Amino acid sequence: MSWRLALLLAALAWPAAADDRAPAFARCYACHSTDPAQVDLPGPNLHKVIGRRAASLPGFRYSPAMRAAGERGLVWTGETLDRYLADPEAVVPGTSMGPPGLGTATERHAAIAHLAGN
Amino acid sequence: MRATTWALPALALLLAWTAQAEISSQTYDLPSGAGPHDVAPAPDGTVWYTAQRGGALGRLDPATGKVEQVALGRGSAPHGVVVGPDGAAWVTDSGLNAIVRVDPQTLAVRTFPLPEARGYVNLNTAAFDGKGMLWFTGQNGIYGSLDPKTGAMHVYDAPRGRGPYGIAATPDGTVFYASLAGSHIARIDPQSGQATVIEPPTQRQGARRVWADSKGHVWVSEWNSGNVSRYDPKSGAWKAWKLPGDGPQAYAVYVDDQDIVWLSDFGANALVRFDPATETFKVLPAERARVNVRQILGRPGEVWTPESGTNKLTVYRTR
Repeated sequence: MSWRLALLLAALAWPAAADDRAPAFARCYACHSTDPAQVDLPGPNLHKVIGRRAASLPGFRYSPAMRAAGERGLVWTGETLDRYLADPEAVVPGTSMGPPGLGTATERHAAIAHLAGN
Repeated sequence: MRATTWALPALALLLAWTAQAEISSQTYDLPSGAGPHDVAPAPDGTVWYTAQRGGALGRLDPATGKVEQVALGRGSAPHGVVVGPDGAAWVTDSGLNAIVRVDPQTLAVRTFPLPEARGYVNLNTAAFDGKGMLWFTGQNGIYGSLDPKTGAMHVYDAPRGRGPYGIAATPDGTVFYASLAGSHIARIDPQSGQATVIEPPTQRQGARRVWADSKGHVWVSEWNSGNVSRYDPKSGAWKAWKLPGDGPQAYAVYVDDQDIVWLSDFGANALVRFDPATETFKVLPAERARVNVRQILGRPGEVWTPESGTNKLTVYRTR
């Protein structure tokens, strides 16, 4: 499944939001939430993150590296998320997010579909 | 009298200079793509490190700079490593969802998977208690134990769900862990396996890692608040200090053999030494941009830092 197909399937599934405990979000769950009310986790809230400029969520303290990426115009799309989740350090050197990323395309696209549906 | 007044500050300056002068550092390059997350200096003089990006466990010989890496398996993304009573490296591998043992002589890899029913737990860090039991954390809301002799594993739900991160044992063998998302620390009862939440004084402080000093105090690096805090298990007393600078973010904490507290500060891109006796900080700015030191560990006279942002290990020699 490509990230494009992931977004399409997520759109078809709308408006049913998936539980963050779903396996697709398991590698993100420790630090992130798609529940807009949950804003005190180590990572930024990811509710409606698709289409958002990097480091633009008010009130969250981003790393200097992520702020600089946002200022350079990085916007979270299926394509940019796919690259970032594959190797965060390669896309945003110095990011505070842990370096391993999501190793397989299947994992990444499932996570992107989860985000697109939330 | 005037001479004495002059002499005392001068003596203090000399002592401070001497203390600072005793610290030297040396940096080692790692193989491209390693992505070191944690280190574990071994009794034989070598230093283990988790190559999180590379899916391997590495071992550096500081005397020669020689590095060897052991692949841990497809999908591996090792986070933490500690040296066990058996001399082996014990790894919390978040990619494999397993505890991994690497033999120090043969480099043989043995994997202890988490129970399938638990799903993905995002394994983080491990510590041995006073009886040789390995305790580990999983950020998705679990902690657990592994008996190295039998392989028996028990996994427990963390009291407040997601968050369990750093874990360490005090000198008497009691294990504490920090909950980053849960903003608390917890003490584990080794008999029942039950974890008891202990609330730091600062709300939403983001307790990320813990370490113990020689007196059994538990030191906590607080990511959100930028504090280092100290918990006394005997009295229940807490005390917290804000790291220097405009926006500190305390990631790692370690207490060395002289009871000096070492912290990494992402906000300042620096290492920070805190002397509990004088309650003073000494900032050691990083020599490179965005070093992102996510853990600190040492042995007598040495403090080791993995630089996840620069793919290097740096040792600070304190005498």
